[in-house]
Amino acid sequence: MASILRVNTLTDASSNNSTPMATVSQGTAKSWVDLNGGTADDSFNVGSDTDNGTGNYSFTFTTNMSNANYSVSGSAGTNSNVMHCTTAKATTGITVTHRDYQNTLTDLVDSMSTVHGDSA
Amino acid sequence: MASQLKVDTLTGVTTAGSIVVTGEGNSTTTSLQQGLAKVWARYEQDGTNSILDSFNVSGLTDEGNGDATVSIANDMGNINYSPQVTMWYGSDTSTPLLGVCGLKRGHAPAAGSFRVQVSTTLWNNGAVGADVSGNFVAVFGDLA
Repeated sequence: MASILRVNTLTDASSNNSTPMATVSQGTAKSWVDLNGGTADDSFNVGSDTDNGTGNYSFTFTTNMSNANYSVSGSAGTNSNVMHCTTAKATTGITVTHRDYQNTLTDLVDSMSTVHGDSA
Repeated sequence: MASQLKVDTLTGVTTAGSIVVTGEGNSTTTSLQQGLAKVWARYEQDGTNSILDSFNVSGLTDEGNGDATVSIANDMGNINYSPQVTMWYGSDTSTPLLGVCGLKRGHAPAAGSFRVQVSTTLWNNGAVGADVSGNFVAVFGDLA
């Protein structure tokens, strides 16, 4: 049977490593994705993904963020000469682009993004 | 009333690996397990090749300039996880301002490791592998 535990603080049985629930919630990533050419190989809280063109991908959240002031961190995988840039973000999802050192949009096998912030 | 739960392990009732946490907006829930970083580390390659602090990392292998393999202690469940990589030059001001980092080209992540490449680059002048004092990695995805 599903159950709900209402608690302010989690602590291990030795009373160490005390963690407020606010830290658990704020520190938990609200979304992450590994996009392969714009298609998700694996993800969490991603509703749909779109290939907008070379090196330009978007994905939406299944559960939206409460505002657009969240934090996106990302990496360009398997091509270390390409940068990950978040070019648009909304409560419903984000757009990322990847450019090489010559400022040319570049497709990636692994475009990886993680979102931290407030969920709705 | 404030409350404190003392416990060593949290396990879901319906599904052992699935616990949800109420979101900040109080109207939705988010998965605790999916949102937890499964690996993080800070390591340096400038001078010595060493891990300064880490979680779920079993080793670091120096593969060359700016090139290192991070070994995961408890493996990921598949190779489709999401590593985040960033870097810091530290006090070195002699290197070009622009640095790029990511998973090394041609080396797909494995369940038990991933390979990071840090390079300095000059506009329109290619990229050169560079050992730096701050390499920061974090991994999100499914544990085995």
